[in-house]
Amino acid sequence: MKSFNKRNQISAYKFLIPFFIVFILINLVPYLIGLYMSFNYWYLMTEFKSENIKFVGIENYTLLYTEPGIKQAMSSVLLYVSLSVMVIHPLALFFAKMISYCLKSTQAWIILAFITPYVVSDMAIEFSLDIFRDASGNLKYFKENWVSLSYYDALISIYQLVGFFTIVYYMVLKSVPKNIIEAAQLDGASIFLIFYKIEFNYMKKMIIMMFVLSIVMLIGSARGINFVIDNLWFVGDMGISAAFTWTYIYYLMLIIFFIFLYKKVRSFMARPFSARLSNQELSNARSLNPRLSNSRLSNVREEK
Amino acid sequence: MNYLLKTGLAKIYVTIFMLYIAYLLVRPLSHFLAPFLDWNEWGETYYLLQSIKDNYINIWISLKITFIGTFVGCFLATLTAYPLAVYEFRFKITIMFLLVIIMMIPFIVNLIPMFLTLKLAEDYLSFIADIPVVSFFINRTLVTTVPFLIPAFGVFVIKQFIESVVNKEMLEAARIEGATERRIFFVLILPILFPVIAIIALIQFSGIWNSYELSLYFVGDESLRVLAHSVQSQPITIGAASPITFLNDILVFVPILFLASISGFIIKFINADLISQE
Repeated sequence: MKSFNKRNQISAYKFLIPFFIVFILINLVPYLIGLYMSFNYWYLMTEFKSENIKFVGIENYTLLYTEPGIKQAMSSVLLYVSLSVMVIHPLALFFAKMISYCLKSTQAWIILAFITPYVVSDMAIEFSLDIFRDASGNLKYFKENWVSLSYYDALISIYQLVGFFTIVYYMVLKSVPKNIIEAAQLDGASIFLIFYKIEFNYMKKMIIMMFVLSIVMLIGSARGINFVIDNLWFVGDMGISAAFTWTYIYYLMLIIFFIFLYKKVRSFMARPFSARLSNQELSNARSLNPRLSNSRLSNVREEK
Repeated sequence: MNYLLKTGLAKIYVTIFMLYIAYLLVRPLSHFLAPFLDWNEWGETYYLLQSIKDNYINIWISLKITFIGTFVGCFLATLTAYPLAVYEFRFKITIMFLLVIIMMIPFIVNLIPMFLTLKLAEDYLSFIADIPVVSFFINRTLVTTVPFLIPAFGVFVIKQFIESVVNKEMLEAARIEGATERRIFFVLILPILFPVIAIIALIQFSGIWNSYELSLYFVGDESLRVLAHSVQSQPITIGAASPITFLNDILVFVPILFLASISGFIIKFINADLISQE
């Protein structure tokens, strides 16, 4: 059991008061009201009274799953996100590696050049892609359907986000210890081998985090989700809209639960078998198998 | 091959990028230079200026809101990141988990429940008394800053920065001298954090300036829209100079100007060694 300094705890919670207030007002209360609303029917234009609210059970969710338009939009979101994620991260790693080779005096300009597309709005980028449009603003070279539009949006989001992730990866690349790389160079390893064997292993954790972050950012800007919310808004049925939010949260909870389960199982499997034996059994096993005495954990046990 | 990888390709890519950025920066100004270079007539430029005059309130409102939002968001992010980095307390991991959840749910998904809460609060609070707080939020563009008030990603970045930069012995020394925790935060910690706050401010600024969804759903009045919404609501016409192209140029121009003004801090942040070598 950890022991905490009382003064430290009180001052920490004092700093966190504004966070709690904003979190409750912006996130927690809307989620709870949304959860209540997702099992009821309420039309937006009527007053929020018990006469106008009808309990419908899970009908909202079943409507969400059976509606063909929503299904198409969600599949387009999947296509768009997976496509752009597959392109963004390899490209960003490649550019980060290239920036690290440049002169230090030019790096500042390069970094600024990479950040700028992240700052510019996607609407403006879409607007500046006027090769794809005719004079009246319609798309020229392809038909407007969900598949082609998700390719088109992926192009824009790749342009926007590659620079951002390049700089994150560049910052991580800088923190890789230089002596290991030098040793590898002396042994005659090529750039690719060094990158794959050393630097990539150091960056693995950060890459996974950025992968998740990029998925969330892409979902936030997806055309499909905008389309669904827009339609639900103009229909005015608040129950289905709240159900839409909560299906997202259910999926999120499922994913978090599976990660938790995976970690538990992995930590259980990683524990050596010798840790579960008594001292007598361990010494017996050691006499049978000399390799066991070399294992790290059994040594630790001996010291205790 | 090695030479190409090391210098050549990067230089080509960056020159193309820089040219494009220069083009973006010059574009709004080029409308005023155009008559002198005989590209078009003065009449067209006057026509474009009319669009600024029509959307003057939108531009002013969105500028005001983005500055308020960036300031409040950065301040809240530092306030939440500091105790997570420095102190040991019981529910630290739960708070980190909450922040991860905030980061995982994009605000568009949470949009309609957020509207519901505002609507319900309006109904009930106006029934009790005429409280202007809710009406202030429902029909003003200040709502557009609401989902950006806790930048969860920014909290993690600032936490990382504090852990790598701030010396804990210095804090102990300050405590022995008799400084309160609040004084330590404002006098010792905040001045060091400017480089990292700059990059969070950039993310906040571009996020608030470019978001039109909240304005689209929450703000009823046409004159209270933000600039991004007023650009979004107009139909796209390409070719001849039209008001929407000019407004679009302004939409691109302002965040790049903001980036240029804080670029020194950002480069300082990127060149710092943040991630400690364990």
